[in-house]
Amino acid sequence: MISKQIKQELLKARTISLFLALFIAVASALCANAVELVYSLNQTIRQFYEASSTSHLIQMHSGDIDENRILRYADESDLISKYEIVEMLNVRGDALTIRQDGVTQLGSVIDNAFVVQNKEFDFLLNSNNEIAEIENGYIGVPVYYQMVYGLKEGDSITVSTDNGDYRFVIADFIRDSQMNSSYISSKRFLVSQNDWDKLNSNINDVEYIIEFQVKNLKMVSQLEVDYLKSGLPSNGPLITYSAIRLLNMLTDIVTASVLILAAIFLVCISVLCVRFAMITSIDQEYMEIAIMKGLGISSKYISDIYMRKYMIIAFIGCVIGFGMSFSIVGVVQNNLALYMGIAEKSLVNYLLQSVACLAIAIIVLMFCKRAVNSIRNVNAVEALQQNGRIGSDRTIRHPSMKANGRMLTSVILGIKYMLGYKKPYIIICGIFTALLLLVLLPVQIVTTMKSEEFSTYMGIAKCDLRVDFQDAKKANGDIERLISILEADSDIQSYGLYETFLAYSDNTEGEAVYLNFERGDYSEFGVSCNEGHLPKNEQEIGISHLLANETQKTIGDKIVIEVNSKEYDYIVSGIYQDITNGGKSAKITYQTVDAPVYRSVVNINLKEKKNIANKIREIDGSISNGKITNLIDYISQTMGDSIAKFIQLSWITMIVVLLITLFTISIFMKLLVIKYKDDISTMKGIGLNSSDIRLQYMTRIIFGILMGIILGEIFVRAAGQPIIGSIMSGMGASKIVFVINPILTYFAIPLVILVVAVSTTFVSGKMINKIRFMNT
Amino acid sequence: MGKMKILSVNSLNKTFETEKNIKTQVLEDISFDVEEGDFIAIMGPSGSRISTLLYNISGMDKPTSGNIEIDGMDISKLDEDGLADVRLHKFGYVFQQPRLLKTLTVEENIMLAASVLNKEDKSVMQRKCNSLMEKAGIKELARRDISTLSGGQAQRVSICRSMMNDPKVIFADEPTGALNSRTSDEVMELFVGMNKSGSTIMLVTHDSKVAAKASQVWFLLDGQIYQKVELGQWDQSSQSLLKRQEQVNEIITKLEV
Repeated sequence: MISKQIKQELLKARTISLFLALFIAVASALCANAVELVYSLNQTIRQFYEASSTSHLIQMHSGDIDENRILRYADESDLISKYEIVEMLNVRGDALTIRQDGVTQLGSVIDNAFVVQNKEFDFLLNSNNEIAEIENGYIGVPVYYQMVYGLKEGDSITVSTDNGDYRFVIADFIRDSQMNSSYISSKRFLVSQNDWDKLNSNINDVEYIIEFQVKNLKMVSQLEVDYLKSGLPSNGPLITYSAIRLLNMLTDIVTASVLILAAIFLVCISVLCVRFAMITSIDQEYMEIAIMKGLGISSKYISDIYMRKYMIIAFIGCVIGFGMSFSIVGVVQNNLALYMGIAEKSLVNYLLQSVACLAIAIIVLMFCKRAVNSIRNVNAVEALQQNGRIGSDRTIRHPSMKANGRMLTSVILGIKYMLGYKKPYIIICGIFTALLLLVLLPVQIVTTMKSEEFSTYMGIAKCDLRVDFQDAKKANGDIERLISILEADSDIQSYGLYETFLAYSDNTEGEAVYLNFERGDYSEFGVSCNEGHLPKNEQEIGISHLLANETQKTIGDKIVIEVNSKEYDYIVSGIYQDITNGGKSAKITYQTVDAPVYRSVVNINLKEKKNIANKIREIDGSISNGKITNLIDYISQTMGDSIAKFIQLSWITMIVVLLITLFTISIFMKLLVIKYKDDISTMKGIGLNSSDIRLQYMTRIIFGILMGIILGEIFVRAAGQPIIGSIMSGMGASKIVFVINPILTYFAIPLVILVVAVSTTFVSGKMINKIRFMNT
Repeated sequence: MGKMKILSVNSLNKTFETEKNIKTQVLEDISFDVEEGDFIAIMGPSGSRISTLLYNISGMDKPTSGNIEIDGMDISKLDEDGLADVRLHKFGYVFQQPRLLKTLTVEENIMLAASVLNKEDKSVMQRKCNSLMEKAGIKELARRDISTLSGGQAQRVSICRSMMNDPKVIFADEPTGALNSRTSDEVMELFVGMNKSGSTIMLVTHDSKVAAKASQVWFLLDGQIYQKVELGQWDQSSQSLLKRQEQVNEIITKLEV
């Protein structure tokens, strides 16, 4: 008996049931993918690191090295299990042609180095995650370039030297456990020993990577400090295993977070829709429910019919979602697949996917249960006395409706109906608030990431051009020459020299923390501070978020910095975001530091921004060591992956949101028209035409949607930043101030949603035409 | 001078088609004229399609063939919007259930169609509404919620609503069908009063007492007008109601046999 009734219930509300199942399916598919991605990411990284036998600590060094000293240090250390010294042959951007249209890498932010395969560990892998082997004349190209330039095997790469060009054919794409990520601005190309030797004899710009594997991963930070104190070669960034791991995972962590967020929104929307469907169907069937109750059938039995109906819908939705999650897994994990090669799926993957789908179904059902409970409130006597026209509507006195003419009467009638039964419109408003949040968050992330200000969240000052001198000793002459050129150049608006020293401070446990200690004038080329401000006098110091965490220092605290065995005392004046070079850094101004400069950077602003490309060429011609970067390019190259991912996500969410708008409004109109069929036919009977009635419905729905959109905009401003902040905190930048594109945020996107909603209301309103007095 | 013809029906046919394409003719070659000030009650045994006839001549439904002219305009070929316009401008309706909109107050319900038509000034419209409510004895209910009205009160509101746009003809489909005997008498008094003031009324009923208050009673049988009986205007003082009712009952009994 009950199963027959459930079947009838399902058939009666076919479209709504289908729609709900679809919602649950999409939400569970997204959630399953997010959960699976997090698990896959861990598994993949583990397998990838196993295959490549990645380093635990790497010290980049430019300049000469004494290999025997390092060998002795490694042998004597209790921490080190293996070590290796890699020779990297740096190829300047203007000498390297990767793009197939012949344009060189001049102006690129990336340091390109040619290497041979390692012998001990830190292997460069081919696209099958095997140790890559490259023959003479061939080359293994970083996956990053495959993505950026759409390269394929067989394409060629040229290195120009004074003694002619060297052409290499791409044999494979290289997965590099250390430098895969676009956030890392160094990339390794793999060539044969023979080719490497030939190039080396012509270029002769070798940089070293001194790499270690520790006996136990917990020893990495101990080795980091121990190595720096040993006085061994350290002219370049020192990077730990955890930093490499984080940078490799970053894009996927952000993707997973956004997917989970989208799933949460979809669950909210599903729950709201279920609630809406419930209240309308109970409203419609008030009489039937009342009669059943009048006949003595218990509320529990009636609730059971509804509950089981929704259980079936949720189950179908969750099964479809499980199936769907397999088809979108490719899109979600393409980044992972390309950069690291996805680990074999195990039973756990499928189990996690099904648990996620089931969890979504259970959440939706929990809310259904609450809605179904309203059946208990159906009063049989009341319903039968008033012929089933019960409950929801009440008389609304204002606005008054007298002699207003056709159009205004319809609008006022619409408003009266809405005020007479607010619940469904509150739900519609809630749905559209959630939809707007869903679509605006990725858009906001994209505009924020694309903005010039975003560099300051990365710890990079906002400027037109920057010239980096990784090896300050070697660049001494260049820096002086550059500064004299800049002084004389009338195109230059301003410039600033920033020098970095190696320094230490103590953490709360008294252990030394290594940091990049920078000196310069931050009045023009500063970074954004979370709290306080950058140093303005000799006593003040600005410290990075990560350093502040490690040392537990805050504004006004005293901090001791040790540079070149001398201690300096400062007062913390500000805490800023920094994700560069390990993220632990400090900035001081004016004061002389008695230590060798480790690294330098010159920030430049031009009077005319359009001259950037020419200026890069000019400066490049006058210095031999520095690396010139166009900041906009820097952002697009380092953040390119994430920006592209978010642009893709923005489009997907926009399409999803428009589809949801289409479905929601169609269903909503259908439910409203069914609910008010009697009133519609009465109005038609007394001479109102279909257009008048449609206008009433448009007024009601548009009012609800507009409220939703306005609330959505407010929420994006109020809650969007903390939400995105928490996603971005993984990147060391927790306090993100959204850069809002006002046209997109306040005009274009809401307008598109509104247009789709209004058109759907208009088209769905056609069913009003079919209602005639005779049908009711 | 004779009375003016306002509604003219010629050769009206109505056929229903079932899902299996079986056609059933329910109204067959019906022709008649209605003159200004007529009060016609249409009766018939169960299944005689009296309501179908009412809906087809009042622009609620479309006949399969035939012409319906109101004020010289043929409405049988009009589309839905055209018919809605005719209903708004020319006709008034009273249904078996009052069918009032719960969201509106009593007077807003009465003034809804007039508000859409908007042919009069707001104050004129309000005065007219007040006068109608006064005649119907519901003036004190003007600002009340619909849900607080009794069945009789609601039906009187619905009659006032039908009068607001000065219709050429008022159509009533069993207006007392859902009322008790006393309330039914009160509602019929209102119809009789309206007719005396010049309104043309066509009413469908199964109640001979209701029909006896009309000036003409038409009997429908098998989709055709079987007989028309001229009763003359009923006057409460004449105490002829019982006699008129007997006359009606006699024909109905004959038809039902």
